[in-house]
Amino acid sequence: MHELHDAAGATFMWAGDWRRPHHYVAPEDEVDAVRNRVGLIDVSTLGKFRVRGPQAVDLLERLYPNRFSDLAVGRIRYGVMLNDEGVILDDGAVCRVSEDEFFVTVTTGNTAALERWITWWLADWQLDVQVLNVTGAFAALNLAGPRARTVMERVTDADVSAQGMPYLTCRGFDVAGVPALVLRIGFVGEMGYEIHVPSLFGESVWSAIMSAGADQGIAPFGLEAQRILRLEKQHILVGQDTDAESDPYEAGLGWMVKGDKPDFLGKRSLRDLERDGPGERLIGFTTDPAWVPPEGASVVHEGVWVGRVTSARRSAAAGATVGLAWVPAGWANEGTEFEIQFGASHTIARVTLRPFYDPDGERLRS
Amino acid sequence: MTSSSAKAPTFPPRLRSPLASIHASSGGDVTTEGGAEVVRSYGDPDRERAVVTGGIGVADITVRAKVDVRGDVDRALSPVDGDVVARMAGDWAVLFCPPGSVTERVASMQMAAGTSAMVTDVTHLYAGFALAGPSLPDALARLTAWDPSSLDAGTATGAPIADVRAIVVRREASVPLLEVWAAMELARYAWRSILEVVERLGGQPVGWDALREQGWR
Repeated sequence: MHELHDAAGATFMWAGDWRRPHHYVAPEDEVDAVRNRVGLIDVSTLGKFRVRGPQAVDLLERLYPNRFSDLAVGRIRYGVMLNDEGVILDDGAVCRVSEDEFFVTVTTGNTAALERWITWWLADWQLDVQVLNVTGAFAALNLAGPRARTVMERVTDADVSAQGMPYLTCRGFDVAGVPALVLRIGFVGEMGYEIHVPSLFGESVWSAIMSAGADQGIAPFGLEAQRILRLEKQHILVGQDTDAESDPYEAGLGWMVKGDKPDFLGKRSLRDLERDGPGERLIGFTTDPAWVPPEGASVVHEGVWVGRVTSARRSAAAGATVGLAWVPAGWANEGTEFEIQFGASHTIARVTLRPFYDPDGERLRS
Repeated sequence: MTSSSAKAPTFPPRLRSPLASIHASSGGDVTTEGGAEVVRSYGDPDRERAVVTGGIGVADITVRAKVDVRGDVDRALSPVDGDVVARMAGDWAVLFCPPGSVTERVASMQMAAGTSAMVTDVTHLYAGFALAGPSLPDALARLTAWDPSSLDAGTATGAPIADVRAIVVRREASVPLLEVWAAMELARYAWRSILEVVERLGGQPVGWDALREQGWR
């Protein structure tokens, strides 16, 4: 779909090995479209795996700290993959397509490494399951915003209502005449559909959706708008907000660790980490909108470095600069104030543990 | 962009190579086969015939259908006339078929295999290019360090072509003919890299008609 984005005036950036639209118009305007009308982003670069076989569940139960044995067919669960030391490797959606088949998405930049990782462990575990990297086979489009359902209803005969297709479900049906796997998920924090179609039909489906949404004010949006939107929800980017030492407890993802499961990658390490408690925590913060601390800016205490900012953007919805930062674990309390410094610039930030936008997720689930 | 509240079409669009705009700007004569757009020629069939029989030509064959089989390959495979089976490993094969939907075939192969294999329509996973002509060895010498002489007609292997990991299939035809299948997202890069070598050898893009005259199908 590169030519199509080019024709729409996209400015491109590198994302792993891919060229992706950074923006088409001012990112703030693209954010406004998604929050108040409807937006469409090309997320084809997401890594995608087909996992199928009698022991598909066993494979996922070993690869992730999450539980998948109780995931019903047609349901989706957010998952985080860990290495043997309990360090976060990747995250994404795990969709149960049938009793013995899953569709798994992973981050753009990690796909090749994870293919090797999964294949290596599969060879060791000798499970009766097949895994195929189908990243290039599917174009993926995320249609998001309060008018997304209106647009979706115009390109499919399927029931995409809140009752027919609730949040965190997946269904297979035709979209604009093309067979699609549709996921009700929302990285940007609005009601939306992630539409996976055979890649050579990507342009056709993109154009059909844009045409169907024209009178709804649909706008394409790029990575910069996506980053603002996800940050307003405190959704992390693995590799940006995490590093080679980040574990799920520190990152606020301890809720997904099911320690009572049989062995999974990182289990023994996590037991120790849980016992010792996190030394630092990834928290959300707000600060004066006059300054956006650069990624990597220092969190300081009495002039001494104690942490770092991983992401920060100006947020119209929050009326402030919002961001994520690693701070000493004891600071992870609502309203705690701390200092951020970069060169001669500094600001006082305030810990915000809940999403800056739609904290109860009502829009996402609507 | 036009304003519309009508339903989008419910029929599938035509299958189109990601290189379609390049072919169009090169004067490609496009026809539709099995719901897919195919370049028959680039306007000078005689020249393309001469290139394929006396030098080297390259054709975009991306829209051919493909089926990936993992696991008990023999139990799942049921090739029919016109199919080419690339056996990549004991538990992995890729079936290349004429353009057209393979949905029903994939379903029947999966049913035959049961849980012993995973059968996947990978038509959209690989872009494909056919290199044809007596100068094929010269072209490959410029595109890869892999030794193609060990690959018999009708067999396949994995090899790097233009620094891209590819499935290569030696086809039976009246001229040397090799199919190169690379990741779809690398289609433009692979095409340009291969075409650059082909043109340096005096060759050019050719349509499917030129290949078919040599027994390719």
